[in-house]
Amino acid sequence: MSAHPTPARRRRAVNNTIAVAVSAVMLFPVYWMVATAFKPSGKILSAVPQFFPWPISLGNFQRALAKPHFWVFVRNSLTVTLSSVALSLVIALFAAIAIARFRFAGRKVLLAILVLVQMIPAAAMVIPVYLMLRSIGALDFVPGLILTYMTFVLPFTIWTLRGFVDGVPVELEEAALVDGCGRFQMYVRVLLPLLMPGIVATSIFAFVNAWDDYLFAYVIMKSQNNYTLPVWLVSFRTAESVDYGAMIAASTIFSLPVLVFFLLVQRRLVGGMTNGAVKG
Amino acid sequence: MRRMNRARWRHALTAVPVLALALTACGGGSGGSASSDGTLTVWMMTGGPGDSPLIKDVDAEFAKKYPDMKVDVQIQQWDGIATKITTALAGGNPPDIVEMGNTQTPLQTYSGGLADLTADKSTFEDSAGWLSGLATPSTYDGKLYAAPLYGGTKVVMYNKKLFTAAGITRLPTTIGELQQDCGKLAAANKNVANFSGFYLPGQYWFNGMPFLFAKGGTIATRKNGAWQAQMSSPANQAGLAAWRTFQNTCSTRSSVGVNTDSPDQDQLFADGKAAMEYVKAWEPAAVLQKNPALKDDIGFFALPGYTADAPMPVIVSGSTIGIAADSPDKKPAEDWLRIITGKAFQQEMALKLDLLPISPDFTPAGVPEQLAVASQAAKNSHPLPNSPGEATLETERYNEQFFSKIAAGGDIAKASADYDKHATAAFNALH
Amino acid sequence: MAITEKRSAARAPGRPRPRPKGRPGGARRRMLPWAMIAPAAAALILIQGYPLARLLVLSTQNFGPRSLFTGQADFVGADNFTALFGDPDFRAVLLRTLVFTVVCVALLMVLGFLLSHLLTGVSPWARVVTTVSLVLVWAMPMVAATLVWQWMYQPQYGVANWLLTKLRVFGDLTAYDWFSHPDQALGLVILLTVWKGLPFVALTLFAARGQIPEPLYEAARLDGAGTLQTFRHITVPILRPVLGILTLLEVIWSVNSFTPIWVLTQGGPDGRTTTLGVYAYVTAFSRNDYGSGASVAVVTVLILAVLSIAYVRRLADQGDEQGGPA
Repeated sequence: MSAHPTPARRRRAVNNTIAVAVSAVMLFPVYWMVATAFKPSGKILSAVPQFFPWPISLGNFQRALAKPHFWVFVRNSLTVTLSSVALSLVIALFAAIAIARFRFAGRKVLLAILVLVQMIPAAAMVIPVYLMLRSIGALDFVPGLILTYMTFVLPFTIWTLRGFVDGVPVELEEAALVDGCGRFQMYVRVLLPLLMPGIVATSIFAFVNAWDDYLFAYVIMKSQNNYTLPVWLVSFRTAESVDYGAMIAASTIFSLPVLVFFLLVQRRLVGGMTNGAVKG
Repeated sequence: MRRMNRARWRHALTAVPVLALALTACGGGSGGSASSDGTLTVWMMTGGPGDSPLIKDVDAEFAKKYPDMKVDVQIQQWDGIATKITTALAGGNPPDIVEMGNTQTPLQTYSGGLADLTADKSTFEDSAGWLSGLATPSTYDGKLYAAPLYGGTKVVMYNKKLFTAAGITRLPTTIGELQQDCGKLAAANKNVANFSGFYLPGQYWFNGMPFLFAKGGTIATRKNGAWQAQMSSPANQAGLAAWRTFQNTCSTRSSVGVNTDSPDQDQLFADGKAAMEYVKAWEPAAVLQKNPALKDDIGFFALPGYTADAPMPVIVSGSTIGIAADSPDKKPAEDWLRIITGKAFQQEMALKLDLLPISPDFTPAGVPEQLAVASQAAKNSHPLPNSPGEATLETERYNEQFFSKIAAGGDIAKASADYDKHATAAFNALH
Repeated sequence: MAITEKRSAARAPGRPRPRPKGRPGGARRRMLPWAMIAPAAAALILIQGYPLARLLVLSTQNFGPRSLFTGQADFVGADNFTALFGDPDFRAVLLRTLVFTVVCVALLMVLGFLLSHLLTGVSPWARVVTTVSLVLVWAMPMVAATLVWQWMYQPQYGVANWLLTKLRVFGDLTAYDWFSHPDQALGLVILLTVWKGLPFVALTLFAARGQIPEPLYEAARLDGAGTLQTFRHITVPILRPVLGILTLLEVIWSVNSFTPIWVLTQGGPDGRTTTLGVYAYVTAFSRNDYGSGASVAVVTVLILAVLSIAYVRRLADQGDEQGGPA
């Protein structure tokens, strides 16, 4: 590689340019949302587009945050989302390792069921889930919602993590076992670091899934104290009108936690594997 | 290397108990709020009278009679509300009082989750004068299950300055005159790109239906309990043709496939790209927010009819409010309903929230001009079919798509036959 | 190629699966996979099992809103299904769903793969910029994304219409109404779906790509392999499980896609952008016919299952031939 520094560097420069261009195109709608959020609510539309919000107005954000119970919704959303992410990851991780590393009776049936469950349109499950929770008296009960989200992302999480476990050469585990590690120790020390990128990718997925859901939260939860943030997000649409300014500002605020969650975990997406046990 | 991995793992591990703690912490506080314990739980819709400080006046009045009872008004969202209310009423420990959109009311009166108010109807102030667009859906099989809460209907908003500039000195009294005025306005504003004399989105079926009613048409009839949609009746087909001519004459080509929100018709009016529009009572305020200079240039009139003797009949939209059949506090709930549907509160609501009172007689002096015009127009209103199927058509956006298809030049005979087939099935689906 | 041989040697048939070597407690070992599966299985059986069974029962019932109160619902056998297939719109919906799904998934997978590859060949700062951009797109709530999309393409005020007009290639599009033309409306929905779905595919593939040891590529390059050859012999074979599940998921999600279509076009004009996901929602929630809604769900699952059966079997079999039961 070091024999041809110039072409390699040139290729990297080309790649960087493409990456920046792709980012710009992808980001434009996001930018448009944020820029719109900072425009005065009467100036959101103009025949000649206003690309930079100037003068900056915080009115939309003020109206969005002035909605009652906002902080209650934030607390509920964080509780429900983080709990379902953590639960589904832990449960899925064990299942994924078992499926990828062992043969056992019923394994294929289990895999097929996982895929089938994933295929059901979510809208059709609202009434059955409601009927179940009603029969056990768990309507309007936060853990009921957590478990619902958890099982909805579980099939995906297991399947994906299984793919990542498959990608780890078994020799590494064997070597660790030979080295005298216990099986559990081996998983923790060898397998887990190698799976980190997969865990990160699936946890963002699980996070977004629970964070964005409106329908289940709205139908299963009855009292206002148990609502989550998506309920706030649609509250700017009334029978008569829509406060687009506040709604777009709310959407901007709503996107932030996903970004924060990503920034907290993202280093594991890139690092961790090549410098981990593969070389070590 | 391995030590680094361990550190990373330990880091991840510490996160788990924290999350688990969060999980158990939330297990407490929930578990169903009781309502038979002296609390009246009221579900009201976002943006309606329940979502404003005015509701405190109802509670204060209520407290005079029930000083020991708490009122808990909870604001609900429109998205998915039909399922939400049905499942809540069926779920045990329901809210005592629920507000519903008037097109969704038949679904609830049909389902059986609402208490029968028939015997007490006369105890509601001026219940004989309730707008039929709100009273009809509140009734199922001759029994009353809800009371009207507020109404809404649309009027024509026009730009006085543009009218004067185009040489129009007299407001149109027939739809024919209105169309001629569109021509004059278009001629006077031919330098304005995409100008409309009367900006009318093709999906705006609230504007289309009046053209059918005025020809003597009706959406559906009921015989021996079975509905039959009537869109292909000669009267309706004539109305559709007249409406298409009006839409195509007065509005831009790009308005055929859209609804009022995309592009925002108030923005077009504020920018001087439209001289007239069919609007709800709050829209003038939205226009002024976008262009305060129009303050003295906005006027209103009812959509004129085919002849000068009567304006077009209108569709009344709005909300109704009912009591859960399973509510343990029906008596106080009914008293609360009497207060919110009474003249005193309805007048306050009209003056402060621009909402149409449930009886034309309630409309007080001093309401904004558009509300006075609307209240007058609402006296000649046509109710929508009193079937849960109307809510189906609404949530399917079927009327929007149908009128847009007509505006785009679709074959009226074929389109209306399709409408009848689809709508008849929808109207009869839940019976 | 030497590299793939190395790899396949590691996975050669007949090679025993890993077992805890030289450790006592065979019974405990046999129980181990079950113990690891148990929480997931319990959660799925308890929380998905009942609703699933209920869904199947619902699909044979005339279950309307009144049934929620009375608990009574008439058994109607296959009536919900015959009514569904008797609906002339339904076949058009199926065909449209197929086209929509194929286009969306093809675009997502190809673009996602290329993007994940691009991410491996850029400077660290560019990688951070791109991944953060992708996550921002991912993080944007779907409702807001759709709304912004609608704004960008609306007649008279749309920024996309404005930009396209400025290009001076297509003429004056300022007042152009994309959504009254079914094909263009569907095209915009596809564009939105691909844009919104790309981050997930690209980042998941990038994460999986990161598992492949860099020396494999270095060795391949020394052997004179070009980019395409490394794709064919290293990246794709190793990523196959992840590529497989991603494709399957994107197929499922495209078939069941609801919000983008519903907010952007409401399935119109004239019902001509309605896909299976919209159809399922409308049946269950607009018509309040939970029985028929369940039958649409059952049909959806059956169609998806038939489409993916061979595929799922291959995925599930992967590695099976490599060893006997543990």
